[in-house]
Amino acid sequence: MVRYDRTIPPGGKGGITLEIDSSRVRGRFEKKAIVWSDDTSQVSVALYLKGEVRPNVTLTPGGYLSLWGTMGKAVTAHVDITNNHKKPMRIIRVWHDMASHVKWKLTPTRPGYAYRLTVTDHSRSPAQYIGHFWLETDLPQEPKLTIIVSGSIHEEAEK
Amino acid sequence: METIMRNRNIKRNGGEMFFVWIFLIFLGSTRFAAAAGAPLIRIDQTTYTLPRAFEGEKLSHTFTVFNQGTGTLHIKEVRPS
Repeated sequence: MVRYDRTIPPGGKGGITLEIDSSRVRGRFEKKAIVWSDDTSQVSVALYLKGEVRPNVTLTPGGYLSLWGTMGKAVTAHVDITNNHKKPMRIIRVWHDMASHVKWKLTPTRPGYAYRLTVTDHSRSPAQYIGHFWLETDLPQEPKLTIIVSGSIHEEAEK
Repeated sequence: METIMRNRNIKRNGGEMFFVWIFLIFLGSTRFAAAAGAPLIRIDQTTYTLPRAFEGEKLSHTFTVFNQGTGTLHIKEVRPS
């Protein structure tokens, strides 16, 4: 978004404000804006706004877990949840929509700042499923985290 | 023969004078424009680096624009790209 003074008197000064929606930007960014005026010696001027936007919470390797394997063998995967703020974050509640397929465990690896969510398949028959984990936090900027789980469990091949 | 040469010189000199007059008129008009007041934009800092922020935080910066001319500066448009 851009706001600016449309007229500036001789010898005076004005402002051009550039605003960036940080919820739409990740990592380093550089935004450019061109100013067009009636100064015939310099009709346009380029302005640059640089910066870096960090996520409130980082999910490693990402917000997606894949459980792929053979029945009867422990098919497990994990996601590391890192709070990037200085203030500690608590995970208040964890729930999911795959009751018959998965078990989970949340381990604080650095309480307040880092947690590991381990998800294990416990399907009783071959299955293909997609579901979600939701984690409620006390971080006002990120009150709810979503992790997508994809499961593909096959029967053990006959020997 | 001499008459023909003289006529040619007159024609050539006339052509040169025409361009001299055009140049003088152009010079006069620009001086007139300056006297009437021309704006002059100046922005000292055209690049600004914001402090590191978290997603969701408000990010903005105001660039200061000076008008060092003698006429009012009109900012027609600011187009983000």
